[in-house]
This record gives sequence, structure tokens and C-alpha cells, in this order.
Amino acid sequence: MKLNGVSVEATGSLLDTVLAAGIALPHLCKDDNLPVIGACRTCLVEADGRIVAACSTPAAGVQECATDSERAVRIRRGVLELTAAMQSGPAGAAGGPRSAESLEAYASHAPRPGQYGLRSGTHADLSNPFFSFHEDACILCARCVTACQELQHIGAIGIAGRGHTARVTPGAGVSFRESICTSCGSCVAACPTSALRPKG
Amino acid sequence: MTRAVSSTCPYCGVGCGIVLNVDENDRIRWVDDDPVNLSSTGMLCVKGRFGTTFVNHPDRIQTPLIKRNGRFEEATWDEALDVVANRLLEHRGHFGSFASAKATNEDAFVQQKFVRLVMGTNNIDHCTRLCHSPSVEAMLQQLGSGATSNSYIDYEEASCIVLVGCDPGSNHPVIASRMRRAIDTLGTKLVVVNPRRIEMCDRADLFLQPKAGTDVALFNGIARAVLDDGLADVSFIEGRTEGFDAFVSAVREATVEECADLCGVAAEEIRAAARFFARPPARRGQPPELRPGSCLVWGMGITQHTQGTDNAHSLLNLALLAGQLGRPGCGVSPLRGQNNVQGCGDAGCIPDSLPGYQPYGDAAIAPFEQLWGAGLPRSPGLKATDMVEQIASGTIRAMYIVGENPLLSEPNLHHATDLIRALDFLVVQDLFLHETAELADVVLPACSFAEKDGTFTNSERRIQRVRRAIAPVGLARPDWEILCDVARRMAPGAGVDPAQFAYGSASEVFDEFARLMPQIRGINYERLEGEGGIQWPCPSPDHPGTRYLYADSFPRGLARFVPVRQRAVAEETPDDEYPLVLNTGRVLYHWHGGTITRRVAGLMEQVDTVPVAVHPADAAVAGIQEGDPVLVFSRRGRMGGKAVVTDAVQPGNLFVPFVKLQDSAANFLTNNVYDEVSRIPEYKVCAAKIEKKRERKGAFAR
Amino acid sequence: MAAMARPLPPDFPIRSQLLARLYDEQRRAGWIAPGFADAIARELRLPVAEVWEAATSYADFRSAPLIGDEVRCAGLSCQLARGAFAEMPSEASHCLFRCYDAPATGGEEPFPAPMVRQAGPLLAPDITNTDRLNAARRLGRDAALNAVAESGLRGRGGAYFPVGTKWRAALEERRPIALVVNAEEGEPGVFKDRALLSLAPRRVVEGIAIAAFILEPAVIVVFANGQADPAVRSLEEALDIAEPQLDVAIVRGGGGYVLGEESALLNALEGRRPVPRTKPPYPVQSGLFGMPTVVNNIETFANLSVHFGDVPGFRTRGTPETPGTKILSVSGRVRLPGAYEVPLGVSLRKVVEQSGPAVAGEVAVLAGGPSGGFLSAGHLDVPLQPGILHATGAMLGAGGIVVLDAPGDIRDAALAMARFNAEESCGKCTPCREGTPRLYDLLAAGDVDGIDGLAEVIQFGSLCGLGQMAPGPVRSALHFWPGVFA
Repeated sequence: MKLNGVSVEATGSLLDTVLAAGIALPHLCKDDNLPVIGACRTCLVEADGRIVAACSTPAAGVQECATDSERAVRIRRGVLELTAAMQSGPAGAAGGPRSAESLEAYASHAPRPGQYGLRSGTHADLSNPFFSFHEDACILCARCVTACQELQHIGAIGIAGRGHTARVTPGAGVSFRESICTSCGSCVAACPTSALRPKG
Repeated sequence: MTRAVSSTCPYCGVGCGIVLNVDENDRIRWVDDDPVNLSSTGMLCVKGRFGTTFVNHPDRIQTPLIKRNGRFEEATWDEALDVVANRLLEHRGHFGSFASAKATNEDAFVQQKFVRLVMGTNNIDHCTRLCHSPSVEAMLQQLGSGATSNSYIDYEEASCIVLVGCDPGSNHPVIASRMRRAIDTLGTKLVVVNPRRIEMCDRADLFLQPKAGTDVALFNGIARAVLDDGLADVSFIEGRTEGFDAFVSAVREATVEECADLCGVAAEEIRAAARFFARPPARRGQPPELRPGSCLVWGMGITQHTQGTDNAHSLLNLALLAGQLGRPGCGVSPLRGQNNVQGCGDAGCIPDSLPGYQPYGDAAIAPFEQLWGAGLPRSPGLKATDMVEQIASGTIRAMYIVGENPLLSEPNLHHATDLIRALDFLVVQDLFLHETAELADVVLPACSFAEKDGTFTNSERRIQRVRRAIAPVGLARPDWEILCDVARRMAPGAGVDPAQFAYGSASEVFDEFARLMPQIRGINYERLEGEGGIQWPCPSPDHPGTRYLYADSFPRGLARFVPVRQRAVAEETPDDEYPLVLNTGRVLYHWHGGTITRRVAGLMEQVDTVPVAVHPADAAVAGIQEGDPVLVFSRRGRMGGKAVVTDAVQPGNLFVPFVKLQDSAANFLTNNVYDEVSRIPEYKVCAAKIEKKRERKGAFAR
Repeated sequence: MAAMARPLPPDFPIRSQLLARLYDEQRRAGWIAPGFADAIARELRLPVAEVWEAATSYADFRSAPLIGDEVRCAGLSCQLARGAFAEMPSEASHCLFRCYDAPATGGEEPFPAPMVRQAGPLLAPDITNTDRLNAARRLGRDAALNAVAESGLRGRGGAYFPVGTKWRAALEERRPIALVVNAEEGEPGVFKDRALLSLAPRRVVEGIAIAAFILEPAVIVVFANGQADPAVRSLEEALDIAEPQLDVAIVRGGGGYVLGEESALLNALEGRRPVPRTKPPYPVQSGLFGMPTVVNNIETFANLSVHFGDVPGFRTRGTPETPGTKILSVSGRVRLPGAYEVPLGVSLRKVVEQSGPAVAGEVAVLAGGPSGGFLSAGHLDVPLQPGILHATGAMLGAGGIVVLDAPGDIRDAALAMARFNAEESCGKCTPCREGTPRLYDLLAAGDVDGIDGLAEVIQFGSLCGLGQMAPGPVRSALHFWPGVFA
């Protein structure tokens, strides 16, 4: 298949193919370690004229894929602007083992600051001895929840509420420490921002 | 900038892949999971993820220490090694050694070589004695190999998993996760057998809660139900086993109902367990051409009894009876507690066989004597628990203990402490100056897993690399290097060629190990680098490794049924003075005795006092409420803890993890009585009483 | 026991019982307390956070008790009739699917026969025997499947996917199939499934029986709207007398527009948070608990029965690409609201004229509801068929037609649709969750310059069709009546 005009071998998903070709593409909800989630929409590319999420589109069957088309870049930037508007705290920056992923995504797409008004949560949970959770950096990519539910099969955290009320939570009125969380840290390892970050 | 080093978790026997992210100051900043690791598939538990800060703990022993006038003094390596070499030469003939299931295969291999070749004795053992020696004994007798027969992937391909006397949620969390994955996504059936309600019971289809010490009755009862209901795998029994008739007559001595009465489980539940195990309903995605399998998984609840070996036999009999061996999705799994307890045994740190479980017969010993250029002792050595007990008789007068803290792990610690104190000479080689090390004459600082190269072998027989991620702390050195230095100093006196202990690297040690252990002959560091972990048996360089054992045959030819009968439930049972049964085990946030995990701040924040689980009825009698400070007594000692009032334990039972916190440990209470065959102590049952700790009131109260 | 539900098979994964438990509790107690979530988690062996996820993800499930509000319909036609957009409906309000009865209050009622304004084979008097099923049986499975494929029948849920193609894909998996009957009609302004279930339930059941004969599913589940008691009662009665008996489970939903997305519906059935899945795999490959899964709409099943009643005749109605009839739900500023069964391809203008528009200004139409778009009077000469009716968003969809007074109603109606889409976003993907509330804000503030860029991000960035189509009403309203938002 042609990727940005260059012939490459199609392997796995479009995202796999793109990354294998050494091309940077944000993928804030796709972790090597986790199944496809498809929530963050930051890996949008133009495939045979359609805008698709690279993570969930099989590369086989795609003739031409562009990560750098004007439209794909513009829409990705729009998504990243909406994403950035979820992060209000200084915690939006570094601190987690994977927070470079979101920082690089922003750096490469130059979202216009303040394009959308902030709409972030403020809750913080410092109860676990090993890590803390900060809603003001959370982008609801669901990696943490997927790691907890589908990798470790613990299910200590979930996303409660629908639409714009959705938030990551260890249950109703329960802190991480009080929940069934076993502190395995897979959520921290999965977080692409610093919403979940190790202490100390 | 940090650098990332792939290695293997130093905690339990699951053997998860970890990636240590180390900063420029050689501090481990973050531990990542390793998605390509085939044993852990990207998972970790709290100890692997957050529990490695002990590596840089200020308590690490920085230099060799020599005790003079009752006090430790810092010494150079030369001084310390000279003392050790000279004193040990004096003690050949009444010497014993504990190897460490926490250390690498290379450390273990060199240690047993030193003990056999230089010290001329087979008195070497390790903590398997305290955990799965009955399983290994029973498996060697019945099957011919002492290892877990299946792989973790088989838990995910089983149609039924039976968990007996184990708590994987606390002690093998990643295995628990893999089981939950099967249960949640494939509808795999789960049967839990445990006197205590464990976390996995949340997902169990069937939970049997037998009285302590009645496992033989229970599993004979399940076997009887299999027979009665026509669930036995007749063709497997006929084609691949022997001794069936004797087994059947033993099982037929009691009906299911009689067994049920004995162990306090309903007969209907026994029959249900038999159906689940012998003929489980197919999980989703079960290949139709393959019979649905059952994995039989057990832990210390089976082994740590005076009838531990019988218990293990009763389990293996059941697996043979139902033909649940030698296919994908079934097998027998003793869950190993320590990161390298499999490898430590493989490497020969057991008193009754050479590396690779080879007996002391001429044929097996010849390659060793040939390669090592000297004769080797041929009579079995003393087992760990016997070595300690034989200090009293003077049979053992000197010990070299590597990476073990028997004064937390032995039963009846007051008694064990008195014995260890009576040694003429004790060398302890470890990370911390723990209870046993305090009594040593010489203490040698060893490297942690993060400071050395080597390999660990996990519960599924997978040999995986351990890689040096940081420089050694202080003057610490890898165990095998220290042992080589001691051996070379002693070699002339012992009539051994010092060149036998002149390895240039851990890889060279492994090559010699692989040359002498046929099951791993095809493995070397180069392959491990390229392929990741490899599961033995792997007899040749082009062999991919083995997922499950016994596909076509057993190492002993036919598998053998060993009839067993229920005996007295325990050596010590409750009476008026000590009315409760004390059961011991572990908690998620601590590892065994706690020598390591007490030095991880977050783990201490989670659990800082010993939790004592007591049934609400017993708590009410003693006036105890949740969270109260309590004292627990047995005839041998007492300990303090914090009450957890829960119906997870049965009335009349206490459960206490054996971690030592606030100077309190369950092993001050446990009974130093042993299973005759394996010499494992009866950690799981002793008589005890509990009372609320009285608050001190008065002028001197703090 | 809750009324009008039938349990899933006991050998199904236990988590499939979660939705039913939550539904029962909501009906019993009026809300779902954290303590109930704890208890149900223990009983169903599920982590409590996963139970809480499901308990808080449905429009009808409350995590706090609601006291004493009158239930008033919040659908567009009822708001129009009430003339009170500014006064937002109470928390207890939701669409009552009685758009022909606007402004409705109270609860749902059986669909009244007189509201069938135009009947065709679907809304004809209900059948009384199983002749059509027998006809399919006489053909045999393979020939019957071919007949379905050759009929050109397309799904009537709104996506118009060829039924034969879907079924063949599921059968090609050669694994036990799950057949899901989608009766979770949740789009305000659409009441055609309720009409069918009330008036022709035996026809629907026969259609299910025909599908079951061809697909031989391991399980049949009707996913029925949680509020639609009269329709479900009618279906149950038809199932009770069906010959031969069909083994059908009925699961009641907790509401939410996203359940119109079939993978979200499958997640709901599995006891998971009802959000769409990524595709592939498509449900026909791996749907309910990984089984190849066929999801079809009530109206599709009714069409199956019609088709086997007159195989050659089926293609004589509708268009060659989309044969058959379609039930339109017409409401709003009309004298004759109700169900209109029309051949596909009929002109929209004809339908509008038939319904008797009653407007002060010009006639306008919202076609396709919150996922569709507005059309001005000059754009009504379009044939009603799958695909867009206008580039700005209008589409046939599930057949909801709301007639409006332009320009008087437009601003309120567009804001109502934008608000609905923002409130009904499931919250899974960023463009829809974050974008739709801001789209509403921009429109409400009259800040129209930013709308195009944001609408593009939502349309092309969202995971599922509901997000992708959410900008339609806003964009079409701006296109035809830019002045009303200034």
C-alpha cells in the first residue's frame, strides 16, 4: 500500500503500519499492551479518501493512506484541541510514565490555545500509597479502565456516567484505597497523561 | 534521562517480565510491565510494580561484616573470605547449607557445586522444603517429574480450574488475573477448595470449605464420586497408569457421604466438584476435537501438614483418575512461591538429587565427577528442617546460608533461634542484616536481582533472563562470585582444582549447568536473548521448549496411583486451653516473612501490622471488635496483631499471614512437627487462643 | 419480578443478567443506590466498578431518587405543541413516543389504530396464521435464505443494510449465531416499532420465526425499550400464542439514543457500559459474547413476514434498490399526525402535503431526527430512500418526519436537536463527548463562525454514526436559515 505516497508493507492495523514505517502519529488511547479502544480519535488518517481511526482500521484492503493530508492533520488538530481543553491543571504536563505521549501529540499538532473553553474535572484521589489520580489531567481515553478490566481483570475502576458527565472512578463515593484496587499499577502504566501518576 | 533494562520480577514464582527504568543516579524510578513476556503478558502486581525500592534501601549491607566480641565489624572482602574459607575447612563433615530460591540459577548451581565438591556433602536444601516438598515428592513418585505439568496459558484454555489450598489473588496475582480472564471471557468454571474464603471465591462456581487437615478425605471423596458416577477416564487409566486397583479399593473404603461428614462439606458439593473436574462443560471457544480440560492447582494448604505428601498424592490420584494431564488446558500445578524456587531445585540445591533431579547413581553422577574432576558424595543429605533440628545433636555445626532468613520462616521460632545460636560457625550472605544474619559470625553483602546477570526459572518451567540494571550497592557482589571466591580459597585444602570455580560470567555458569542438566541442554544466553524465556524440557538447540508435560508418556513410564487414607487431621488440635485452629498464609502486600517488603514504604502503608482474621462468633466470645489490637497464643509463643473480624474464616479458625510486622510473627506460634516423607512443617494447623490486648493504663502507660 | 421481561438462557455468561437487575431495581425503587450496586456485584460476581459503570450509563437509570415530578414528553413535537422551549423539561421528562398526541404527558400507551394514517402490508390488520412461515419452511433453509437475499430487503432501523448480506456473513462464521431483535426504539419522533408491536405483533413474531428458521440461532433476544410497556405487553401476548413456540428472551433497556448503535446495544446486553465498539470485527463476525450476531429491527422482521407472504409481489413496491414499504412517523405542525406506510421512493413533499401542514410561515421538515437535518420548503421534492436527502444532513433514517413552521420554529428546534445530541452522547469518544456540548454552546450564543470547524471534527472524528451525524441539524438549519441564529 502507499503510505504518504511511499510504498510500504501493510501489517496489522493502519496504526501498526504507520508506526512500523517510522511515522509519528498520536494514538492516545492505543497501548501496545491493550486491545483497541477507539475513544481518543487522535490517530485519524485519510485512507482512500475517508477519515478513519488508524488503530481500528485493518491495513489490508487500504490502497492509499495519508497521515499528512491537510484534512487529516486539521481534524486531528481539532480533536487534540478538544482533548487539551479537558486538561486544566499544570498536571496536564509531565509526571506519569507515559505522559510524554500526550505532550508529543500536542507538540506535533500545535493546537490553538483556548480554542475551546476548559471543561475539566477537579477531583483528585491521593489515597493510594503508590499513585494518585488527578481528574484535571484526565482525557477519558479509557486506557486505565481497560487495563484494569480487560488486562488485569480486576475491575476496580470504571467510567461512570454518560456523555459529558463521564468520569473515571473506583465506584460510587469510594476512593482508590477503599476500592478493590490491588495497586497493580497497570492503570498508571497505561495513562498517556499524568492523570494517573506514581507518587514520589 | 532514564534507561530501561528488561529483567524478571524478584518476587513470586509467576516470573513476570519487568522493565526497570533507571535514572542517572542508579535509582529505579519506575517498573514497567513487559507485554512481550509470555508468562506475564504485560501484567504485573503491586510488588513487582512498586516493590523494588528495597534495592536502594539504606538498610542494605554495604560491606562484609565479621563478628568480633559479639559485635559486627566492617571488613574487607579478603579478610571476610579468608575467615569463611578457614573456618569452613575446619567444619567439613558437619556442615549444611541453605541456598536461596530468590537468587539466580547460576548462584544456585555454583552453591551446590561448592557444597558437593568442596564441602563433600549433600547437605544442601532450600525453601522448597517449607513449601512444596510434599508436592515434589509425590509427583516424583507418581509421575517421575517434580514440576508443574502445564503452562499458564493452559489456565486460559481450561474449561475448569480447581484451586486447592492456595490464594492466587494474594500470592500469584498475575496467575489470578489470567484465570479471571478465562472465567470472565470464556466461561471457564472455577472450583475453590479452601477452609478460608479467598478473593477468587468471588468468581467461583463452587466453593468447598473443608475442615483443616481433612484434605485426603475430601479428595478421596471426590475420587469416589468420580468412580460412582462413571466419570473416570478409563482409557487413560488403562493405557497410562498402574496401581489403579489398589487405589480403587482404598477409595471404596468410604462413601461420599462418609467423606463429606469427615471434612464438613456437603456430599452434593463433593459430587458437583467431581463432575466439574472430571467432565467440565466446554468453555467458549473450546476446540471440538479436544476434550475440555481441567487444571488442578494447589498451594501450601495442601502441603504444609504432617500428612502433606499424602495430601499431594490424593490430588495426583484424582488427576490421573480423570485423565486431566498431558493435553492443552489441563494439568497439575503446585504454585511456586518464590521467583526461582523451581530453578533452585533444578540446579540441584536439594539433598536427595543432583542438578536435573538426577539420583546419586553411578550413571548419573559420572558426568559430574568427570567434568568436575573429583569424587562426589553419594548418600542423600539432610533436608532443611532436619539440618536445623540436627544442630542439637551436633551433626550440623556450621552453616552457610545464602539469601534465606530461617528465623522468620522456620516453625516455632523460639526453638529454631536457640538451635541456630548453637552453631559453631554461621555465614550469612544476603541483602539485609535480618534475624538470622544477626546471629552470624560472618555476613557477606550480596547483590540484589537488579545488580547482577543471571536467570530465574518460573512456575511454568520458563527460564528467563535477569539483567544487571544498576551498579552493586556498596561492596555487594553476586552470590555465585562470592561462592567462587570462597571455593577457590578452599580448593587446595579440599583437593579440588581451583579452576573449577573460575567462571568469567553468569553465562559461562549457565552453560555448565545446561551441560549437566539434560532437560535444559538446548538453552543458552544467546537463545534467551533472541527468543525470550524458554520452557524446559528443551533438550537441544533447535527444540522450541515444552508447553506441557506428559503428552505421550511419563518420565517414569506409567504414572502410578498411590492409595492414601485420611489420618488424624493434625498433630496438635484444639482443646479447652487453646480452642482455636491457627492457619497461616500470606497477604498481597507482603512477601513471605517480610524481610524485603518491610523495606518498601508503600507496602508498609498498606499493611503495617499483622492482620489476624477471626470469625465474628469467636470475636464476640473474646470481646474483640474489628481493628482491635489482639494477642494470639500457642503453646510455643505469642504474637500481637490487629483483629480482622470476618466470616471468611470458619468459626473456630484464625488466619494469620506469616509476615513479621512490629516484631510479631505467626511462626513464633507454629508447630515444629513434620511430614514424615518430605519433612515439611505443619504450618497450617496448630492450636491457639486469641484475646484482646489490654490497654495499658496507669502511670507508665505511653 | 419485573413485568414484561424474559430471562436470557441460564448458561449465558452471568454478567448478561446485569442489565435486567438494574432495570428491575430502577422500576422497583425509582433509583439505583450504591448499596444495591454492591449487592448485585457480589451476586453476579462482577467488580463493583463495572456494575457502577452500567448503572450510571443509561438515560432512565438514576443514581439519586427523583421526587414527584410530572412526566412530560420532551420530544420535539411535544415541545412545539407546548410552545415552551425556554422552560426546559423536568428531569423526569423524556420522549413518550406519542408525537401524534402532542403535547403528551403521563406515560406510554398502546398505539391507537386510528393513528395509522396510511396502511400498507405492514400495518394491515394483523395476521392470524403462520402461512408465511410455512412458505419459508417449504422452501427450505437455503432457498429461503436466497429468497431473502433476492428480495432486496434492507434493514429498517435506519442504516438500510441488505438483510441477506448480513445473514450470509453471520452464517459464514459457522458458529452458533445470536439473533437480536432490536425493539429499543429510542429516537424522539419515531414510533413505528411501537405501532407495529401494538397493531401487528403476530406479524413481527412470524418474521422472527422466519429468521430463526433460516439462521438457526443459539439464542434469540428481543432488546425492548424500557419505557415501551404497552408494545412489549402486546409482543409477549403474541409470543405466548405463537405456534410453534419460540424460545425468546426479552431484555428491557435503560434508554439512551446510543443504543441505536448496534454494538452499543450488544455491550448493554453483555452487562457492559453501553458504548459503541470499534469495527471490525462487525457484530456478524463477533457480536454478543463473541458469537456471530444478527441485529435486525422490528420493522425488518415484519417485512420478512410480508415478503414470504408474496415473494414476487415484494419487489413491486418501493424502488429496485430498496424494495418494500416504510413506516414514516409524522408529527409536528400537521393536522394528521401518525403512521404513514409508504412505498420507498415516494416524494417527501407528497407525504408532507398528505399530513396537512398547519404553519404560519413556510413549511420546513426535520427528516431523520437528531441525526438527520432540516429541509426548507423548496427542498421537499426528494424521493424518500436510503442515503442523504440533502448534503447538509437530512436523511430518511428511521423515518421520523417532523413538520415545522419556518423560520419561527427553526432556532428552537435546532437548539433542541443540538442539546439532545450533547445530552445523549455516550461519552466514549472525544469528538462527540467534548464536541457536541460545545456545538450547542456556539449555536446558542450565535457564534456561528466556529461551527463549521467543530462540526467537521465531530462528523469525521467521532467513533460511531451518532456522533458522525450529530452536526446535521445544526449545519442544515444554518444553511437554510442563517438569519435566525444571528
